[in-house]
Order: sequence, then structure tokens, then C-alpha cells
Amino acid sequence: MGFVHLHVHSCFSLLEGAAPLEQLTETAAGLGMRALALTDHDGLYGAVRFHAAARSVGLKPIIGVELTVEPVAGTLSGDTHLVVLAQDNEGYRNLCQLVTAARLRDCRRCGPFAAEFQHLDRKRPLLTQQQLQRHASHLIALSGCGRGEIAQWLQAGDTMRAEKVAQYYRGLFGPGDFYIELQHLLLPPPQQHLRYKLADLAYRLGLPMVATNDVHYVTPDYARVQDVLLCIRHNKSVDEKVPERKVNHEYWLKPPEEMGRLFADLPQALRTTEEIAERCNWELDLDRLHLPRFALEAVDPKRCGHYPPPEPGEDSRWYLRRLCYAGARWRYGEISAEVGKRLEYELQVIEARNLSDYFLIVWDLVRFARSRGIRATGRGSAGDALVSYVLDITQADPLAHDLLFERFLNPERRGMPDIDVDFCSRRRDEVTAYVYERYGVDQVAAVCTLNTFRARAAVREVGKALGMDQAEIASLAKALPHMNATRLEEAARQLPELRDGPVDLRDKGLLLELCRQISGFPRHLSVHVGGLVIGAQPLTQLMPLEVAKKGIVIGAFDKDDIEALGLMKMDILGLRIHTAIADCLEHIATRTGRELDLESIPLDDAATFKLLRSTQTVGLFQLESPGQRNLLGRAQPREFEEIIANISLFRPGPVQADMIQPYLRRKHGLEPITYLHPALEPILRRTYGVIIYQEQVLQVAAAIAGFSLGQGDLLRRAMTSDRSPREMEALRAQFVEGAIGRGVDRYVANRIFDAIAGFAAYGFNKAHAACFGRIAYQTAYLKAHYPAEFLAGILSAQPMGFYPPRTIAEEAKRLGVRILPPCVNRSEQRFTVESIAPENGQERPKPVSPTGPKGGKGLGIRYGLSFLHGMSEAAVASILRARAERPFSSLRDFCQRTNVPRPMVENLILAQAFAFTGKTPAELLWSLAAMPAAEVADRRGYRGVQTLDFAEGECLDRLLPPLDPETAHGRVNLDLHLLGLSTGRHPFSFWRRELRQQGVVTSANIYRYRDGDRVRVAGIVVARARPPTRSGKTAVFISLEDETGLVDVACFEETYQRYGRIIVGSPVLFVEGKLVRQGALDISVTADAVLPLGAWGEATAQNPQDTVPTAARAFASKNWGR
Amino acid sequence: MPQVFDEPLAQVSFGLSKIWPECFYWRGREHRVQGCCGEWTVAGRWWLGEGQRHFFRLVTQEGLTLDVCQDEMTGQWTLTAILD
Repeated sequence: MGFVHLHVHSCFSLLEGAAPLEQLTETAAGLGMRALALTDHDGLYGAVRFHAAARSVGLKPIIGVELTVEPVAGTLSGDTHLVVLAQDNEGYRNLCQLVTAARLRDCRRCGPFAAEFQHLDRKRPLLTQQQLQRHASHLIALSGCGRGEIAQWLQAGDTMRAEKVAQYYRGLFGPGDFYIELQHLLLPPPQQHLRYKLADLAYRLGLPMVATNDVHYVTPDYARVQDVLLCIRHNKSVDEKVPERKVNHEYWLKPPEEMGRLFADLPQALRTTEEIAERCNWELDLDRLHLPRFALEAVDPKRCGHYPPPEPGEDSRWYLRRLCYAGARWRYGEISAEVGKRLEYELQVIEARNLSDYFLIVWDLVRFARSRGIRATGRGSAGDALVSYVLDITQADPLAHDLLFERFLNPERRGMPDIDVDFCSRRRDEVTAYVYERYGVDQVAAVCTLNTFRARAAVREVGKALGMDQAEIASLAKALPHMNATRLEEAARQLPELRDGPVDLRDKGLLLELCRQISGFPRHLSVHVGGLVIGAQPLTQLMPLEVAKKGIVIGAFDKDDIEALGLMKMDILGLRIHTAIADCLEHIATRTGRELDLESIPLDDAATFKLLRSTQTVGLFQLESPGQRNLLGRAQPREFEEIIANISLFRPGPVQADMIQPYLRRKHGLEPITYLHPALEPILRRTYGVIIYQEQVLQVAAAIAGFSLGQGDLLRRAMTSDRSPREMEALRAQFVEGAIGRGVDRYVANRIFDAIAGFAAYGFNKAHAACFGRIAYQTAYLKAHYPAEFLAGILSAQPMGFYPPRTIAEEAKRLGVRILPPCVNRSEQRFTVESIAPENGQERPKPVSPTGPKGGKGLGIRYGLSFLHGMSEAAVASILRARAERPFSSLRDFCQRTNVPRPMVENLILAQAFAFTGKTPAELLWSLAAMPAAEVADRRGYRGVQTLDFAEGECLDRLLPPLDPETAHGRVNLDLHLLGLSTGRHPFSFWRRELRQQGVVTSANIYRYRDGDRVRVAGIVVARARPPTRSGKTAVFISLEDETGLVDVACFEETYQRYGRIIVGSPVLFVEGKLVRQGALDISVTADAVLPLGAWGEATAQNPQDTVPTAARAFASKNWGR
Repeated sequence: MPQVFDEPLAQVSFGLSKIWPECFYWRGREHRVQGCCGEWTVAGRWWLGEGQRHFFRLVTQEGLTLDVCQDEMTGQWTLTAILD
């Protein structure tokens, strides 16, 4: 007998279902079923994927939802469920409306952030009967599981009410569209008698019956995963009672034969499943793009800038053309034949794909940002299009950098192009609000991200559910790298930080196995960093909406689903470097009166390239990581094109494919530049014969095999995705055939194919690198010429980049810029720049760095008030307001005129914000303590702020003596706690004498050593990276900071296996190893031994007389020399 | 009132149904099953290594109604109750 499962929960019934979609559809198809329904709880999160998965195995997908509905016949103790299936696409639209109504309740949307959503109970969706009545057409309803209202009344012995509910739903959905659902889940008596009561009711009322199994997992071995998920959901352990937990393990995808056995006494209920499956015909419209129309009439001429406003009667195609030609004249002056031809070609492709509105929407958004002075730049493959460049969306000239339109929008491939735009992160919300205003709240929603279980989250949550020791779980989760939970068992064997860690994993088999099973399951929804979906019609026609935290309405499909549905997604991303640059430009204008236009700075500025070659790039966009600094030192760039190459080369792919070595060797003339065919020379000349960019793959395919660039892009994509050897051979044959036709030797053609096949997977999108390269160059220019202003901007935009504020501040000091403590009379909300007059014969600080920029001399960065530990926005506003009237004359004056609570005043005192009074912090603290309560605001209303809460203090505590503002040590320690950086000495400077005795070299002096010398270095870990390597072995790269700068340390497999736990877990390290010198400024240490310096500090603190601490002795006992 | 037991069954054999026992030995005596009038399962504490137990309510040829179960992990059969 045939049977179709019509009540099925996948893992998209979040924290309840334990069935991965692919496993569900493949198993159902394998069991000979011809259809399968998906009925997740109050959501359609899996709908798009389910549709694709079912179709791929020849199953008919039926989409439905198990809704939580308001009871009809009276109050019940728990939720009541109802299963609804879409009969057709209209039914699907109703499902979207119903889920949205259940999740948004009666709240009205009025913008991106609606205050009333913040009070919505997001975890308890509930559909009112009124809302259900509004969208009940084109649906088939099943009475639900044991939590269905009819079942609940029957179990309560109230047959009358059960009948009333059944009659109500029959009336609502129609006589043939409401079914009594029977389940035989082998429940213990008396629960198992429920199905007979339901069948009896169905007979009495003449209602059809249908058999289901309330599937929650595919095979019985996932029953315990489902149990754990429920425990996680209810925040309970497996030993605790949770009413929702299942009595047995029968909720699996049973084969038709098993269902036949269970329903041998009610065979008609089985037959009905096939009848319903026959009646449900839902298809997702995946062939059309659903682009919103760009309303030309709403264009504000004032925002057009150098672009013309639309003319009456003009359509979007023609207007885009006019904009592009106007933009081309603005960019190039004269429109050359090359520009004209390329522009015309791109416009034709855009018009043929009906994408004119899309480009206008993005242009309009960028115009809005520009008109408000919000920094905005396009990124990604959009930079390959000349249209993006002339529309001022991207800033890198595609013609100058050999960027190819086909990489962005391939005429030979269906699909929605993706234009991502980065905005100043501080003002991104203004842009988002504009989108809602422009396209209407019904048609805009934030894109959601489905957060899935990865190793750390899985260990934490499963461990908690299993009732394991919390401290043990936290310690294990902390030791885990960011990885997939499926690899946990393997990692437990291989990674030293786990193997030798504090938690014995040998008896954690169940934990590891459950984590593996749960891996990749969606856990919860969150808001995508910047994605907005803009619909051509109200979004609830296509997807359900719900509310994420902070009251933001999100579409319940993630970015991949949105793309599959042909909807327009805009990534409005916040980029902190834009914020830092905006601040920097403001500081420059304030100090010098100069309005610097970064778009017109020369791209061959000598000081900028000198800075890049010096590798002092801390703070620079994309070029500050230890790996990038290392690469800059080796590459010694002298032109902008090399910056693009550097950004592209230091990526996991190129590093794994070992593309850096040949590039550098050829660049420096250490090996000859060769080409497999003369036709490759013009394509690869700029990269010395090495394929680095994806665009080059397209060009090679065109030059050698005669492919069009579009075909070349298809070839690149085919090579990038996993292909079977047979498919690869077919691609090869096509390529070689084309090459031979153009007179290329077969052997050479095969070698070129191998070369591009090897690189296609790793090559980087040059347009993206060029877009980011522009910003990277601008940051380098700013640091080279305005280091104080630039680093002040970087400090104000924290957290960002690779390094903590402490490291940025140290970098500033090395460049001769002083870090000034906060001052209630001088500090602004953010970091600012001040000119420093020499004090009483004191000299201005000199740059420590011999090679860095000199522009910072005589300047200081004043600490921003809002960054002080414990400072609230209200307190800062209060200070600035009072100060605008007149400066504070004393501590008493400050307390009387502001509402800053006492604990914050204490912090301000300790941070030297009252230094202008000429009193010491101790005196001021006494004055504050003696001040009457009426004169100082109390802490009420500022809960969470504690006086001198140093619980989160770093391990630097152990290196430094107690907090005491009167001593140099105490000053640094207080600064680190209150400000996150030191306004005076670096903490390491206090240990230099002892460190020197142990032969530890400073990072500034390491340049004096030769390649191969054995050295000892020590410092605070400021960056740690574990990139994938070609060999698959582990390599950890660490940047250590001491008082003179940064030194890079590489720990390879053997060292990592031996000291892994210390390397990964210790914040302050003492390293011994071999110096590796690959260029004048590319110096690193390959570690042989690593010790945690914290242990050393601790030992010394306990025994101050011990000048040679224990850990250092361990080093000293070893034989080494240079 | 049912009498509760926790006693192992021996030599359990199956008939045509292949699901519930047709014959078993309890306390050294053979019991032949006339029919099964109920079937259910109860999950064990899997985190302690317990398997799911599959229960059958059987009526013997002697007219006894009793509940027996099999541990799905160990395969062990147990008499759990005799009903009046």
C-alpha cells in the first residue's frame, strides 16, 4: 500500500526537529514514496531547500506548517497545534501570511526598528482564529498531533467540545479540506487509545481520516538528538522533566510497510495520504526575477550631484543610459572609443536582463549616502562593471585594472548579480531607514542568517543538556578552534590544546557523538550583517516575516534562499574603516583647515609606498595582519597594482596553493618569468606569469581556447565547484579542442588547462581586491601623512581590525604621537587630536621608529570620554553639555554641574581626567569622598556600572604590581583597566632588565640579527592566526608586542604539537627560536620553545627577590647561543 | 490491580507475527500466547546507556493477561506485570 508522510518536522523546527532535509528526502525516495510533506513548527525556514532537495530525488514536495493556534472551544493548559498544507501556490502565499501573522501578532510595521516589536514574545508565536479565518483558503488542514485541540478535548473527556472544534474547522476549511489526523506512535496506555477516540469522532461527523507519524527524525538513532534539542530548547538537562519530551523513539520516517502494520485496522487513513498528496500542487517560482520597480518620479534632483535628474516620461532603461554617459564624462572627461564600446556592451547586457531598475536602485542609495556625507563604496565583483564605476558605486577603474564585466554579470548565465556597498558603520542605519522609506515597509525586510551548531556551541549546549560540569564544558569550549562539530572527534585526537587540555575527552564519547550528529543544525535566526531584501510586491506574498532581537523585522529566508527565489537583496554593510576615515578627515580639517579629497590623492605617493614597504601598517585596511605585513616586507610594493596583488595573494586559497613564492621570486628576478604560450604574456605580465585573479582565468580561456569571456566564466565556475573526474575531462576536451582550433599545440593546451584548473579554485576576484585596494591605499596615505589623525580615527572606530586599542596606542607612540589621558575639559566623546606645546623645557617626544612617518611629531591623541571604562552615553552628554557653558574649574564644580554618577567620577579621577586641577588622584578621591551626597549623582539608574570593577582584568595584572596611581607601574595598570591602553609606558618596559638578563631581544633590536640566529623574544599576543596550509599541517602565526614594537612568530607542526596549549591559550609569551630573514624588513622567529610569560610574572610577584623567575630559569638551563 | 514484576523470560519464540512472542518460559513453565491486545514502547535513559523497551500486552492460552517487554539494546525479555 502506498503511503505519504504528511506531518514531518525537519531540523528547521528549531531546537525540536532532528531531521536534516537532504536525509529526509533521500530516505523518503529510497523508501519508494512519491511525495513528502514538510510541516515545521510555525515556520517555513526550510521551504526553499526542501523544494530543491525533494525535486533532486524525484519527490513531489508538499509544503505545510504546524501552526500554534488559539483554541476554539475554551482555554486549554498548553498550546494547541494545527497542521495546514498548501494545495497550490495561492495556499503557499496564505501559509506565508499565517506564519507572519502568528509571529508579528498585531504589531504594525512602521520602519526598520519598531519599538513595539521589542516587547513581543518571540519564542511564542500564536495565531488568532481571526487571522486564520482571513487566510484559510487553498489549504488542507489536519487536526494535528496529541496537542491538536480536538485531541486535547478528547483526552480531557470532553467529547462535546471536541466535536464543536471539528465542526468549526470543517466549516472554516471546507468539508473536504479538513481531516482528522490519526497517529499510532506506540504510546503507553491510555494515551494509545486516543486514535480510537479520534476515529470514532470522525465516523460520527463524517470527516475523513488521515494517518501520520509526526516525524521528528529520519531514523531511530536520531531520537536522542531530538531529545537533547528539546532539553536545550527548554534549558533543562536530560535528567529533568520536560513535558514536551517524547515518551519513546517512534517519531521517525517509518516505511510504508511499517505504517501499514500500525494502521492495519484503519487502512482508509493510509489511503487518504496519497489522495491528499495528489491534491497538493505547490511549485516555487524559481525562473523569474522579482525586482522592484525604481520610481523615477521619486528621484530627488538635489541628490543627483553631477548626474542629470530624470525627464518626464522617461523609462528606467533610458535614464540609466543617460546616467552612465554623464558618469563616464565625469570620470574620463572625453568618452573614448574604448570606454564607449565597453559601456554600450554592458548596458545592452543589463537591458537584456531587465536589470536597469536594479542598477538605479543601487545608484540612488549611493547618491543618498553621498548627499548626507556618508562614506560609501561598492565592493566585490560589482567592481568589474564599468557601469558601477561611472555610476560612482565603485571607485576602481575597470579599464585601468583589466576588470571584466562577465565576471560580474555573465550574459551566458542566469542569476541575479550582487552589488554590495559598504557604508560608514556609524551611519549605516540612516541608509537602511532610507530604503524602508523609499520602497515601503511592506516591501523591505532584513535578511536573516540561520545560525547553525558549530563545535563550540554544540559542546556548550549539548554538554549542558547532558548535565556535565559547567566549568569543564566552558574550559573545553574555550579551547576549541572555530570548526565544524563533525570534526570534533578527530580534533580531540589531533589538537594538542584539546589532547593535553584540562578536560579529559576520552570519556566524552557520547558528548562528541551527539555534537557530530547535531552539527550544522540551525539553532536560531539572527539578522544578516547588512542584507536587506526588497520585494516587487509585499514580501509576505513570498516569504514569512518575523522579528529578530532589537525589534528588526526579518524575512525568514536566508540569503541563499532569497537568491534562489529571484528576489533582490542589497547588502548595506557597515565598514568601520569608513568611520575611521571620516573621523580622520574631520580631525585633519579641524587642525589644518584642509578638506582632503581622498578620491583625488595621487596613487603613486612616495611617502605612502615607503610606509607600506616599512611594514609599519598597523591600523591599515586589509594590510595590517601579520601575514600581510610579512608579505609587504617581502614584496616591497612600488605601485598601486601591487597592492591589489598583495590583497589577493594573502588569502587561504593562494597561500594553500603556494602562489606567493613564485610571484615574489619572479618579481625580484630570482627566477625567470615564463609563459606556457606567448598569448598568455599580455594577460599575465602584470603578475609575472602567475595566475592570481579570477579575471585572468576568463582571459586565458578566451585567448587560448577561443571562448567568449562569458564561457570562460562558466569554465571558471565549473572548475571552482566540485566536479567529477568525468565532468572535468569533458571541460578539458572542450578547452583543448578550442585551443587546437586556434593553432595551439595539444600538449601546451593541456598544460594550460591544468594550470587554470589548479588556480581557478583559489584565484581571487581582482575587482574586489581593487575596490578594497583603493581604501587600503587611502588608509596608508593618511597614516603616512597624518598619523595622529588617522590613529585617532582608528581608536574611535574600535573594535575593528586585527589589533586591540592598546596596540594602536603603542603604534602611535612609536610614531611620536603622545597618548593623552582623558580630560573633562578637553576630551570629546571620541578620540581627538591636539597640538602639544613643549612643557617647561621638555622636548617633544621623538618617534621611536626609524622608518615610520614623521607627521605625528608635536601631536597627541586625546582619549575619548565614551571609551572610558564604565562611562555611559548619558554621562558623556551631561559633561559635554555642562562644559559648553564654561569649562570646569574644579572637581566640585564638575560634580555640581553634571549628572555623572559617583563611580564614574571615581574612574575619571583615576584616569587623570582632573589633572588640570593640579591635585593627585588620591587627593581628589578624598575630596570626592568628603563631598556631600547632594552634590554628586548616585549610582541609581546606572546599574551594571561598578566602581573599579577589575574582574575582567587581563593577565597583565600578574605582570604588574597593584593598582596605585602614584607609581609608574600602578599608573600603567590603571590605564589598562580604565582606558584599555597605556598613556605612559608599555607594561613590558618594567620587565626589560630581567628580560635582557635572559637574553630576550626587543622587537626593535631584532633587525640587528642575521638569518638563522637563535633568539629569544617575549611580548603580549596581539594577533594569532592559524591559516590552512598546503601540506595540511598546522601553522600558528603570532604577533607579539613589546615596548618597542611587534615581532612575528611562526609555530609549525612540531612546536605546535608540543606547546599547542600554551600557544593557543596564553596571552603573554616567551619564545625561543630561529630568526628567519627574507628581506630587509621581513623578519620573523620560527619558535622551538614557547612558555607562558604570565607564569613568570606570577612567580616573581610571589617572590619579588627572585630576579630570575622560574619560567625564565627553564629557558636559561637550555643550551643555546647565537 | 496489576501485579508488578521484573522477571526475565526464557526461550522466547515467535509465530507468524514475528513481532510479539508466541511462546515463552517464565519461572520454568511454558506459556503459549493466544493473542496480543496492546503494544507500546518506552524510551530508556539513553544517556546512561539504557535502550528503548518494547512492551506487549499478551493473553496466554491459559487466560492470563500479562505485560512483557524486550530491551531493544540487549534483546532481553522481561515480564513486567500480570493483569487481573
